[in-house]
Amino acid sequence: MFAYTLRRLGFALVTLWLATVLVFGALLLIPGNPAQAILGIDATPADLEALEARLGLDKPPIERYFNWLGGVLRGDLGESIRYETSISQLILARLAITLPIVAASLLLAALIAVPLGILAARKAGSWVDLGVSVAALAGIVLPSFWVGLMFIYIFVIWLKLPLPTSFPIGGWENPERALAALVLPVLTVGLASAAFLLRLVRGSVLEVLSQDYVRTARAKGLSERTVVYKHALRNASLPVITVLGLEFAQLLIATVVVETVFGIPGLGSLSLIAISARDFPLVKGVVLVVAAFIILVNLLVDLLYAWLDPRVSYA
Amino acid sequence: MVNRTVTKGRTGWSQLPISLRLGAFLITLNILMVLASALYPVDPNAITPNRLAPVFTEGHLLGTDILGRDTLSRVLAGAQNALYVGLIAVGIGLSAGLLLGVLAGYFGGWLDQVLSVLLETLYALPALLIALLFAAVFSPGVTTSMVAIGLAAIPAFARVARASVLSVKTLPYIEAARALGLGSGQIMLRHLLPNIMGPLVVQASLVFAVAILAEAALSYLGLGTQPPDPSWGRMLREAQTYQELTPYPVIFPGLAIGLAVLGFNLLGDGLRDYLDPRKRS
Repeated sequence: MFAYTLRRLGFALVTLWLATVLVFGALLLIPGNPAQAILGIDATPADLEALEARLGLDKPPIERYFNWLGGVLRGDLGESIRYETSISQLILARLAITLPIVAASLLLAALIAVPLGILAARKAGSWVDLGVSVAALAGIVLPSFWVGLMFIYIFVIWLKLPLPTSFPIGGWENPERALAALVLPVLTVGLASAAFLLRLVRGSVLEVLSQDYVRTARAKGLSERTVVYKHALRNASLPVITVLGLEFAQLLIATVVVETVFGIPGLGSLSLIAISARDFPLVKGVVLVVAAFIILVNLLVDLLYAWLDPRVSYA
Repeated sequence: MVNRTVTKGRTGWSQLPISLRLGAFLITLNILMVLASALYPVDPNAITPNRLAPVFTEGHLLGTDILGRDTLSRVLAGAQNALYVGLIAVGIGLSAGLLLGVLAGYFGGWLDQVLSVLLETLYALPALLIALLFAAVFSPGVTTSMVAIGLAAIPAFARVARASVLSVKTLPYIEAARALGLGSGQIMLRHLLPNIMGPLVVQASLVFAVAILAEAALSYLGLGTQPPDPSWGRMLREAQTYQELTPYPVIFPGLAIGLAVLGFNLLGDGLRDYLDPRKRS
């Protein structure tokens, strides 16, 4: 287990380093002069020169990469051109909004998907199963931003519920309003994740229920409840934990669309602003932070998996 | 799976998995929408004074948007855009993923390890993130988003191709081909490829569904198809601004996305069941 942990950790570090190369390299591909792209065609030569110096464009790419990497290692992602402030601070402020949405959505998804998935698996082939499976399929194929728009229409325009459809300017300073503004986004993202999770829970419980040890447990007279919750669920939970972890990382960026629907100034909308303002240092920062989150969560999920499942030997 | 041809021939349409049949039906519907778009007399970009017409208005079956453009003809034209983007994205992902996966699986060793690390890194970056990065570097547009979605799909294809090659390459017929003195290129092209295509076709169908969703999301964000070209995601972005006036311009593009994605998802699931020898007997 120790050797596996070390190897997996090394792999994660290599992936992370490659991600920095990829992100930095991608921005080298910008056609023409990045300073010109940021300032537009009517920029004065003096302004151009000043921005070039600020971006370090007068230095060779390798030197720029290592300067940037050095900063990244110290937690300094540089300065945003548009906001003229520290990118790390900007990202942290946005994460304070995006992370609660992602966490609450995943919690909601698990609360819906686990009981319904077990129910569908226990009643496999029945009308209940069919209904649950069709609902899950609908959640997968319908785009989340459309579902969000429909929620606005149903809950706000039609039912006139007092739910704000944009985040308060002061952010968390007004916690009640902020929480109310997050109800529909969490419902939207949560239901979409629940759909994925539900199919997975159903599938893994169904597979476990056909195993020999479940037949043994039934044969020795245990109640169906004990068989399902004590024996089957424990083993069926492994893939579910994996997917919950992976969903967490994916949602960090996937919420960008839902954030746009509900006017939430999270990490996603920060990346959109960065792109439209051609704030390349900020783009680099956001992409790297999200990639790092994903790599970290993947690592944790793999380690947790190896730790939870004694059958899996990674020596 | 290798001797699939032996049992083939007696399976009729009615014996295929229901999901496969339903998926094929929905995809056919999508193709018909593209054909209908070419035949439909109303120009999807024609601005008329008949703004925000409700459904079943004469001449505008699904109503009109705030500029008086016909929703039906825009939804039909959106189908063309969705299929086009999906096709190119899957083409990029499949060709590059197949090449890398087969090379990694067939040759193994250091090549396999290097490719695996590279692909894992790419896998860590979600399609949307790659698309955002691309939109920043190149200008946002339909080509940029197609390439980004295709690039993001490479690891998924490469994984499937590599795993399939690993399971096939130790089989006696490959050894026989090698013993006959065939070169690696010939073995890969003539003997490996035909036998690993099944799982790749399944993957292609599933990625097609993801690509349609991703393009819609990018167009909704303003990073995909640019105006005035009709795209389902773009239509939703525009309709959101006057949603309290009429819901129809929001409802129909969303349903169109859902049906197209459902079609490719069901086709992929159905093909997987059909090709799985354990589920066929």
